[in-house]
Amino acid sequence: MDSNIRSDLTFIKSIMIKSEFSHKIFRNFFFSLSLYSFISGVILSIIRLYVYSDRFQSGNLLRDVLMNTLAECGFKLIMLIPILTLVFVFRKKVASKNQGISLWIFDIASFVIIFCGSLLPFTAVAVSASYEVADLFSVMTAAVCMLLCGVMTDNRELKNCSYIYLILPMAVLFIFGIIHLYNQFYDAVNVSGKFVMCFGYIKAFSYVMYPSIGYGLIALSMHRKGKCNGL
Amino acid sequence: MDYNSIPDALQTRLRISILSAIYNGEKDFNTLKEILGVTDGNLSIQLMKLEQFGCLSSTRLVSGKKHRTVYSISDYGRRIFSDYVELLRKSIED
Repeated sequence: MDSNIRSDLTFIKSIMIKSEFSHKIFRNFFFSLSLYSFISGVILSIIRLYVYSDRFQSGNLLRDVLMNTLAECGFKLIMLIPILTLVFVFRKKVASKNQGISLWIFDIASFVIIFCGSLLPFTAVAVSASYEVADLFSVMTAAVCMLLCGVMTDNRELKNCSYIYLILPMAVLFIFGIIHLYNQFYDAVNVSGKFVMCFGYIKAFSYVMYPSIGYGLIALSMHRKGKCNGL
Repeated sequence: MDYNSIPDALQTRLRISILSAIYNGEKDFNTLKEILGVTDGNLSIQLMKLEQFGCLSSTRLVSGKKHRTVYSISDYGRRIFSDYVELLRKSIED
């Protein structure tokens, strides 16, 4: 009896969420975002590759860091235009179709994407010239969007995926940290500079591409859920 | 409301689904069909019955050559649906 009532309540709740949430619009939004992240990630990696390889040739570290900071800041500033356009276009679509839960999920997600995904990394790069802080902000943004969509739409799969998505880079960072510490203590003199640079570049490349996988996963989940619901 | 006095309007799962779907805002026929994943015939019969029970009202909108029927929940429908959900919640708590 109790389980029947519970299933009735869950059924009513799921219909109410379905009636207020458009999987199709969100799927398209996150797919576009994934594509945007992928393209910007590739361009950012090329900029970094240039800086990394140049660093060995010029021998002027200060100039390289400055050039790198300027290039990244400039690029991130330019890349704000497509993200703002994306948010503006999709917000209009969401507002015209759904006024309830969809709109405020979209508002929270777009706020996180614009401020944590674009503006905060921009300031992080400008202030400390740190790739990792900036990249982790972007990874965090994708994880927050994943968790938000998972919790609000009662999508267990997406919710669990967000935890794994966030734990993975942390685990990788931890392993890198241990290796770095080991090098510092025991073998700092013998470590090849080129190896450290390659290592850093691969790490930076992975973090830049990681958000696009995150947004892609959200889009895929929305697509599957929408298909399940007949939407 | 108790289990012996649940109105006829809430006796089938599809009618409950329809009221759940329009509870937070009006919906047209096609949107309801998409949300609930039911056939045209089944949906239109249950919508007609709910309208007869006084749980919802329909408005026919014409834009150009297209006709669209929009369904919205009535005060009575809202009240019995809220009472029903409350009854289910209380049953779990007790």
